Amino acid sequence: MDNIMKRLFKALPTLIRSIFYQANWNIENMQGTGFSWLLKDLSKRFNIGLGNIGSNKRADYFNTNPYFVTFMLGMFLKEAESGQAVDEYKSTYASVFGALGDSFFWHSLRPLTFFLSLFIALYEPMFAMFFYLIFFNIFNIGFKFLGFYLGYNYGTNVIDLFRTVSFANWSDIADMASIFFMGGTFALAIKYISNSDPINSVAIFKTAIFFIVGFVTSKYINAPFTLIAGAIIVTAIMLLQNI
Amino acid sequence: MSLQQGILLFFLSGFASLDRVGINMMLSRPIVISSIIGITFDQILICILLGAIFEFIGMLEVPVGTVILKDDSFAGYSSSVLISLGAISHNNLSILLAIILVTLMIYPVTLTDIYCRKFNKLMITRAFNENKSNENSDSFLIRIGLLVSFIRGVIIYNLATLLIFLTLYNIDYFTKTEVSPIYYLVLLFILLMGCLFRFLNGELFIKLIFLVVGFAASWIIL
Repeated sequence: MDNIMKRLFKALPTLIRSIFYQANWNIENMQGTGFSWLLKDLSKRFNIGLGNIGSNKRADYFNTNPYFVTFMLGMFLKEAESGQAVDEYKSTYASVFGALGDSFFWHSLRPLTFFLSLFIALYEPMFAMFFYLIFFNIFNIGFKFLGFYLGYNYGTNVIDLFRTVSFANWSDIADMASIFFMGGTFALAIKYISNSDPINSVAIFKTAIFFIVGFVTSKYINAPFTLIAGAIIVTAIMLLQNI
Repeated sequence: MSLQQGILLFFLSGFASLDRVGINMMLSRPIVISSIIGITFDQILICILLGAIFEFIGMLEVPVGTVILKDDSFAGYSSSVLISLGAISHNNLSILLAIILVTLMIYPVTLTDIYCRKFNKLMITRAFNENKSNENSDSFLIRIGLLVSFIRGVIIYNLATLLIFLTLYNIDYFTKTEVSPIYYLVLLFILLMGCLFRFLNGELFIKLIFLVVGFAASWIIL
C-alpha cells in the first residue's frame, strides 16, 4: 500500500498534467500527442524505458475518455516496471475506457448534475454554478487520482474491477435519477406558469403538449433545430395572443 | 459595462473555449457560464434560465470518436451577454429572436472549432515531418493547442455576439409586447426536456414511472 502511495505522490505532477493532455486533440491522432507527452513525463519521473512508445511515435492514434486516461498511465507504469510489452494494451484498453467513460461522464453525469443544480438554483441561484462545478469535478478529479492508483494496483485486471462494481450500470442509475429530477422540474415549471392557481389544467395541458412535441421531434431533428422551431412556435403563440 | 466586467468577459470567453478542448472541468457548460455572467451583471435568474435552455444542446450529444460537439458554450455566453448588456429587453419578443439567432450562430462558431483541430493536425504533421519527437516538442504542441483555443474563444465568441447584437439592434423591435418572456422560455425548456427524455437510457415505461414519481414528489414537497 505504501509503495503505491509513494508512486501516486511521485506521479502527482503527471496527473496534474493529465488535465491538459487533450489540448492538441485533432482528427489525425486524436489524443496521441497528449498521451505521448504524459508517458514521456511519467517515464522520466520513474526512470523506466518506453519500449516501442519511446521511438518516434507521436503520430500514433490514441483516443479514450479524458477522465480515464490515468487508468492507462497506472497500467503502463505497472507493466513497464514488470518488463511487459507496454505498447500492446494501448488500443484495446483505450477503447474500453472510452466506451465506459463516454457513457457515464458525457451521457449520464452531465444531465444528472444539471438537474441537481437546477434544484439548488431554486433556493440559491448563486450556489447552483458552484454545485455544478464541485459535483462534476468530484468525479473528474476522483477518477484522475483513483484511476492511477487502481491502474497501477490491478494492472490489466482493472477491467474486472469495473465488472465487479457493475460500472456499466452506473449510467442507467444516473439516467433514472435524472429522469426523477426531470419530473420534479416539470412540476415546478407548471407551478411557475400556473401563477397562484395550484391545479391549473390549462398550464398542465400546455406543458404536456410541449414535452410530447419535444419527445417526438427529437427522433427526427437535432436539438438546435428543435430549439429554433420551438422558438418560432412560441413567438407565433405570443403574437397571436397580442392580436 | 465597466472595465472589470469587460476583463471578466474577455477571460471567460477564452477559458470557456479552452475548457471545451483541453481541460474538461465543466467551466464551459452554458449553465455555469451564464451563472457567472448573471452574477457579474446582476441578472442571475434570466441568465440561468437561458443557460439551462442551451445546456440541453450539449446534453443531447456525446463526444464519441471524432464527433465535435456543437458549441453550446458560445450559446450560453452570447445569450447571457446580450441580455446583460441590454440588447434583449425583458419585456418583448426579442429574447426569442435572440435565441433563434444565437442557435443559428452555433454552426459557424462550431466550424471554427473544427478549424482549430485542423490547425492542431497541421502542427503535429509538421513536427513529425521535421522528425521532432521529444517531450519539449510535445509540450510545445499542447501549449499551442491551449493558446489557440483561448484565442478562438476571445475572438470568435465576442465577434459572433457582436454580430447578433447589431442584428437585434437594427431590427428595431417590431415585436414589442408586455407579456413576460419567462413564461415562454419555460415552455421552450419543457420542449427540450422532452428531447432529453428520449435521449436518456432505459425502457420508456420505466422512464415514465420515474418521471411521474419525480413529478409527484416535487409537486407535494415543494
